[in-house]
Amino acid sequence: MKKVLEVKNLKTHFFTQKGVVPAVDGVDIEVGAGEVVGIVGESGCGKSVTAMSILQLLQFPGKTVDGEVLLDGEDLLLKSPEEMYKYRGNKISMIFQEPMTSLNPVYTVGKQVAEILRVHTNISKVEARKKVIQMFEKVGIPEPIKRYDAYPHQLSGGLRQRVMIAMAIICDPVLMIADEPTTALDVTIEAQILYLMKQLQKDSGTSIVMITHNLGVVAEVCDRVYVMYAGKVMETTDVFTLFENPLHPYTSGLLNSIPKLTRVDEDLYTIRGIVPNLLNLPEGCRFCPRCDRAMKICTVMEPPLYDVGDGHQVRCFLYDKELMNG
Amino acid sequence: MTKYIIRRILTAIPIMIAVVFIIFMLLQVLPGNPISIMMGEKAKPAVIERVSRELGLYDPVLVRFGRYVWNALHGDFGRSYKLNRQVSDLIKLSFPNTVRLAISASLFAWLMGIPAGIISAIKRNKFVDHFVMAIALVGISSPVFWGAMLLQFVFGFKLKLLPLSGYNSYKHMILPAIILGWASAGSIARMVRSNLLEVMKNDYIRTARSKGLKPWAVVYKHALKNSLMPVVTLMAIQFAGMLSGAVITETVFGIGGIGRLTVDAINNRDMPLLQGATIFSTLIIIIGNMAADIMYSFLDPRIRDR
Ligand SMILES: Nc1ncnc2c1ncn2[C@@H]1O[C@H](COP(=O)(O)OP(=O)(O)O)[C@@H](O)[C@H]1O
Ligand SMILES: [Mg+2]
Repeated sequence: MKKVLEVKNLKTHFFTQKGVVPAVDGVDIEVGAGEVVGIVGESGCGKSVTAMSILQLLQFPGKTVDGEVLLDGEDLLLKSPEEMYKYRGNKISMIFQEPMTSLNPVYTVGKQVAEILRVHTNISKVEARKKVIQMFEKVGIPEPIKRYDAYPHQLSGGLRQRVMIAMAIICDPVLMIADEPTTALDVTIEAQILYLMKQLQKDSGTSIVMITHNLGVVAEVCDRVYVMYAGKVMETTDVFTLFENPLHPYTSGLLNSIPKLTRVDEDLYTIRGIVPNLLNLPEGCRFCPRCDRAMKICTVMEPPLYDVGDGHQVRCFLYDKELMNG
Repeated sequence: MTKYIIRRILTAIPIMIAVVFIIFMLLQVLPGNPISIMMGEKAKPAVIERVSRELGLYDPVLVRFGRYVWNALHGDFGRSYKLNRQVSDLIKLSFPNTVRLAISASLFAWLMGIPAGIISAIKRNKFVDHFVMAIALVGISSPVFWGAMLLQFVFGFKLKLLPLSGYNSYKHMILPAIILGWASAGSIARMVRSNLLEVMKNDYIRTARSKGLKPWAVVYKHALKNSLMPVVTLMAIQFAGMLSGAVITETVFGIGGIGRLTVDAINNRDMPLLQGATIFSTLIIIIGNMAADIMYSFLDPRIRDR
């Protein structure tokens, strides 16, 4: 499969007064053409920072200090700011978590979507309006002509997120990054939005990076998944294997903490402990203090990513053959 | 929207009535019989007594208040004791001078304050920012008469570029406009700066950046309107404040405006004039506030829908 996005050894740090926060600490992600790739992990593990780094949207004190972000083989981190403007919203678009606040309250939603066309193409105002209304129709906004002139506060959360989606796909990007696009929405609306995104993805063949802390969303839409913990990828595999045969204790923990109807009698499992302070990471494996299967080596050495076949990789010494057999 | 405007106007009316009443009552408790002031120190007590009765000064206070409001509604604010002219005529004569000063000072304040605030915000914590904010702070905190005399000394007396005082030409307006506008420019610059920095933290700014807009377009198209909305209110209120008379500026530069009129009325214990001028100034401020609110509602679609 052709690779649309390759993130290699991405390191993004925050240079705060208390010290350097390694929010993203050597992350590798690959996204194939037409693929929907999930990034999951508890909040604070660096999912959003990874996304913002790909688009280079981070501002002081955040800075990408190392790595490559290859889009169709070209390293975005080497592009000048002028060149980056042409990528944002055009080749890579982004949808954010808060549909309530992600739109500018003083402009109509139609105008805000049209703006992105006007920035990246030479389209006339009238043409842009037409195209936006068509796009509103496509993303399932009822009465698109009327809605064009609506202000964000006049729309529901679900409709606003549809507006954001229209904005994200109107320039036909090769990659769309959705950062928790449904977290702020009701469950029914969430299902509708996920269905819409899946549908649009099938039509256009755009690759999607779906960031979420919700494994249900992953199961719903993703082909492949990266499990992140404290700025590192802990496990990556296809979505079936993730649910059928999770290898990393952290992944198992996440899966066990999903409420299941078949286990009503048991208490809900939670991973013990809390996400470590990035300013003060433990020696060795960063998940070790919370891990039920931790070994001696885990406290002193950071495990590498072990390849266990079929593109399944896991960052855990339990899968080091020599170590475990010898 | 129309409803909002009507409601806003209707709520202003009781405020106006209350304010007029309070001013009226306050001036009642000032010591001294107005008739003796009007007639001078040599007037006989019996005459004072008779004229007071004839003019209805011994009527109950509410009756006098009613009479005053009734006459005021007909454009009659009484006669000035000292100048022996209709108060309304005196206000009509001085108000244009105050308006001219207020417009010049406000233009100065807006043209300096808004760009200064934007530059400061964009160059936050850089030298330009500190420099602009220092000038703003001097403008806000230095006394008007000090700055006025300084400018008069430099530009009027030493360089002889501008007239020292008076109000006959546009040249006369430059120094007073700078002096009166400086403080207001300073507070506008500070407010624009802090609002802009605050607005830049919003999610929709991140959205704008993710759309591929260049930094200036993000500020100009997405941050500025949102951050200027509260500033418009400040500007309208400041403008109304200037329209109600800039006492010190008018006095220092010898401009015959509402502020000067009020000061003269106080010095002369000219009650009808003082009362008329004060009420006029206050009404201007109330109307200015109302206009600011209505203007704000035009800018912010969220308020428009309420
Ligand atoms: N502006 C910032 N200053 C300092 N640290 C930050 C900043 N933004 C994010 N971080 C750090 O980056 C980590 C990852 O954040 P984020 O990517 O937003 O997590 P999430 O996975 O929930 O999206 C956070 O735990 C925080 O420590
Ligand atoms: Mg996040």
